[in-house]
Amino acid sequence: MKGVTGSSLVFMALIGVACEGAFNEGSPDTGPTACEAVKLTEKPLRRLSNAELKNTLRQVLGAELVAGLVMPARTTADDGFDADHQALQVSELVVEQLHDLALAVSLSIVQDPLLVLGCDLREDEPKLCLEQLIDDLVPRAFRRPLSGLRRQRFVELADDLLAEEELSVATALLVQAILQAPEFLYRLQQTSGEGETPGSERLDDYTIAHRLSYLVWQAPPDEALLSDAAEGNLGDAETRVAHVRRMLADARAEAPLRDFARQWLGLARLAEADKDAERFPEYSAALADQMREQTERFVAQTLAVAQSPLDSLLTDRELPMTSELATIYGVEHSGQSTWVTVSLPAAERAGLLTQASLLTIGGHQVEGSPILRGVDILERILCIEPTPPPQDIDTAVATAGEDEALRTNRERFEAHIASPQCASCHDSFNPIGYALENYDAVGRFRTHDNGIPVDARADLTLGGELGGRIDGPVALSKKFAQSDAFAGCIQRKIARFASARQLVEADQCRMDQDVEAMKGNGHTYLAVLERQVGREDFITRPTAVTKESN
Amino acid sequence: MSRLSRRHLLQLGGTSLAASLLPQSSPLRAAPGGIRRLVIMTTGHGTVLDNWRMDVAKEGEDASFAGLEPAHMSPILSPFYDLREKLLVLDGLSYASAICDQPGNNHGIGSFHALTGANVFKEGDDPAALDWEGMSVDVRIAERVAQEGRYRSLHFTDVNYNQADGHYSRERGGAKIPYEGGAKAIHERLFGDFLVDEVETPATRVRKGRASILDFVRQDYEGAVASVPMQDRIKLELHRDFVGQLGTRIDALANLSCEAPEEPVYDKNDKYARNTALQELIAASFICDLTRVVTYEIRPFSADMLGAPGKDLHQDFAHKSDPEAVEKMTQFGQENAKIVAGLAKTLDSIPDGDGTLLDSTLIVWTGDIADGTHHFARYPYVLLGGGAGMVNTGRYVRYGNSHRLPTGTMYKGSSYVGPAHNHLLVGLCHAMGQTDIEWVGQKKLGPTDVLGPLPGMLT
Repeated sequence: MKGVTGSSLVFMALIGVACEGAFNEGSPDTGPTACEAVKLTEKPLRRLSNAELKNTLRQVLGAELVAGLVMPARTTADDGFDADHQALQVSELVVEQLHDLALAVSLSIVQDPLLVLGCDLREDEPKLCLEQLIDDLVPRAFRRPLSGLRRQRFVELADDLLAEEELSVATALLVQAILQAPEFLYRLQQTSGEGETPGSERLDDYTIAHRLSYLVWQAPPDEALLSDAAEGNLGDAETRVAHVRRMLADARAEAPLRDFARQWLGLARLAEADKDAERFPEYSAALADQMREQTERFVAQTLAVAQSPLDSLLTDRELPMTSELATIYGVEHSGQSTWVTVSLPAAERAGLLTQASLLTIGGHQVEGSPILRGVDILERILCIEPTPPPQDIDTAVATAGEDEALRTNRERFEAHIASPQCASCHDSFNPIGYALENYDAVGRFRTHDNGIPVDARADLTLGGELGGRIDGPVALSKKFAQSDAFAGCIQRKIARFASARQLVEADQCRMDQDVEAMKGNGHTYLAVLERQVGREDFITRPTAVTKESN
Repeated sequence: MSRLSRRHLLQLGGTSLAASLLPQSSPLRAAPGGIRRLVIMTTGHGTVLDNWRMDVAKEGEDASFAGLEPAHMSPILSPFYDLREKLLVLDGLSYASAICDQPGNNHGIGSFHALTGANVFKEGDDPAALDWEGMSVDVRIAERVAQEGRYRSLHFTDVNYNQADGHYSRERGGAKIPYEGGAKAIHERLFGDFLVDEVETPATRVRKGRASILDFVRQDYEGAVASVPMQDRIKLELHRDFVGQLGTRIDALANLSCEAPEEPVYDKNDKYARNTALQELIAASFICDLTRVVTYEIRPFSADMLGAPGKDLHQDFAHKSDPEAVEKMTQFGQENAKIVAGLAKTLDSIPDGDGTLLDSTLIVWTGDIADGTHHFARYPYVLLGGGAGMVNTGRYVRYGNSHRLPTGTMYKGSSYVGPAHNHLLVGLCHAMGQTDIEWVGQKKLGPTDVLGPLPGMLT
């Protein structure tokens, strides 16, 4: 249901509109007053995403027990993000799969209880072994100290199990219960009193600790965070910012950024990108998967490792490359390892828009689609949602050979939108796609289409900073990289990913302020995170209603 | 607990299930009559109306299939000729609800409306708090016909991998329900526990102990529900309920006397083989009464599967009206019809009470858009089976444009479109015995009420 939810309709960083009515209405008042008026944002309850679940299992149980576990089915929100509290709502299938996962772990444990037990099986009483397990494993699984009541409940379960079963079976079943508990599978929030803002509650330090660690690592808090949580230090903004800097410098920050890239750019669509075998014999599911991984690696490398400005995403030419992908890009691969970084020709490539992943998604089986590519860039790179076609419009497309005068892919699409009814909206995104006509349906650079020199000039009709004539994909990327529209959009996409919910007015207000503050002053991923976690809003939530109103 | 050996009864991938495996005298024939089952099948790209429509009834009329000759079948509906007595073709319904909704990508809008008949979620909506609670009709029906200890509903798709994002089914609270693909994985999920070793080991003790652990977990969720803000409770309530049902199901299925099918053997790169394997699992799950409701999405054929290598189904054919495109999209519709008919024939070959499984099952074939131009008017609906005698089959009904759109709304130059499919969704509820349901999705669309089942659909 991409493009039909409300949020992306409301806040568009659109600087100018070329065709009246081509876009939905722009942002409401986003000045300082509006920001002040809405200080708090909701922090809806959410289940751990698959990435978070896997990392949490690994940290709690160790890599050996987690290897080979099948994660539950993934669904996406209507805008394509699967890190979303509603998409993470369970179904009958997912609950069964979460159970299967806990069962699989417990079946390993029953074979070798010492995978989780720390006691001496010959010397210690079984009850002592299980109480040790509860005191060690449960706080790590729940990411906070265990309350007396909860400890008692698990101790009683352990006693009941030992009354019926031998220690290995009881251990396995106890772990099953822990791995299906709400405190393990959900990011439950606890509060520690009123917040500074009227109508708010202050999240407790352990909740703040896991908000920080899942934000940067998609993993539970480490000892340093838990230590500060135990000492009550995480209410201090500078302490939180220091943790973010520390965590982003850690290699664990890369995987979440790869996940962000996958969701933001819809890279999972590559799994269903079908190409004509005759035209593209080198194309395969494995190659498509490498395209996905390449872009994910590129984003993580740019934002976490190099900590480059966000606009580098649209300009950098240093790209991780496999030997198979090198044939698509027409470059040499050193063969030193599976993935090597290659500097791409400046005249052919610049950043994400020119990478094989997005170009392949933006193509049909035989030809690239200026429409798909243009709309995708509008929505994902510029956060502009084109108005959909009227419901009863005819959507026929000309094909090669239908009209001998239509020799190139571009000419066929130009003919398609020739009528004023179509052109009024297609003019806003087709030209973006025309600028990418230098690439075929799998992203290979080409100078000719059907024997005719490619025409990648485009008159962008978006208006303002996004308008004007450009010539080719590199110029297109450079123009968008320098735009306020992209700066606002990437800020928005990061916030969407981090909050796991649709964004609201208060978010937009802050994002506008942040972008303005960071303009020319280091608009990096780190800077975005620092501003986010430094706010009071990060450690508070609106006072919860916990009782039915009469 | 006593269980029969469950191997080798259903020979998948071979001869007809019924002929070879479920003789009339079999004590393991399908569950007794009176049960109603629902299968909703969906396809994309709409249809070629001129090659789908049968020239047997004028607008506003219906016609019996009695005495129908094969030549009377339209090209796309021809695979249903042998099933005509159990076939109901509904020509001319509209997604009036989608026309009245905000504009968007019509594939997305259409797939949302197909089983909800409601407006897409807006910013600030709490789907659980909407008066239709964010549920698609398959889930609404399944919640009420589900049996304790069985699956509430199953959701399949014919992709060649194991899990796919769902497009049509929505859980209470509005979340999309994931679809399962891959018959081997589905077989393992549905029947894997049937085949466990009976020799007791620590591992079997762990398996047997899990139902009591699930009860412990269910109580954990019960306790957690009250601790979270009101708007978050549905998430933990759903989790609590599904955990409770899973514990009950594990116990119930352990005591079920029913033969599990063999693990399916098929070429996962063959779309037809994937569908055959899925359909035999659907049949087996009905025979074992594992569920009463299945949603089943057929993903599009590629152009080369239609004999057009080097072409692009979407770009070269789906939205076009030249002779080659019409021919290929007609073939596309016919191939989809063969798959739908395949499930119907499989079910019709299995005895159930005084009839067959098809007689107690209602199959509905629908989709996101009506035709290749993304329209929401004149949807090609095919219903198959009896719904336990509730559905008036053996007929072709052609509706006129009787639904008046809101003032100022025109569709293809008219203020009227065919009856809103919301009536059909209500009809599905009634066919499944839920006759107290008066509306699905919305009660009113513009000036027109959308209450009650579709006229001409039910007996």
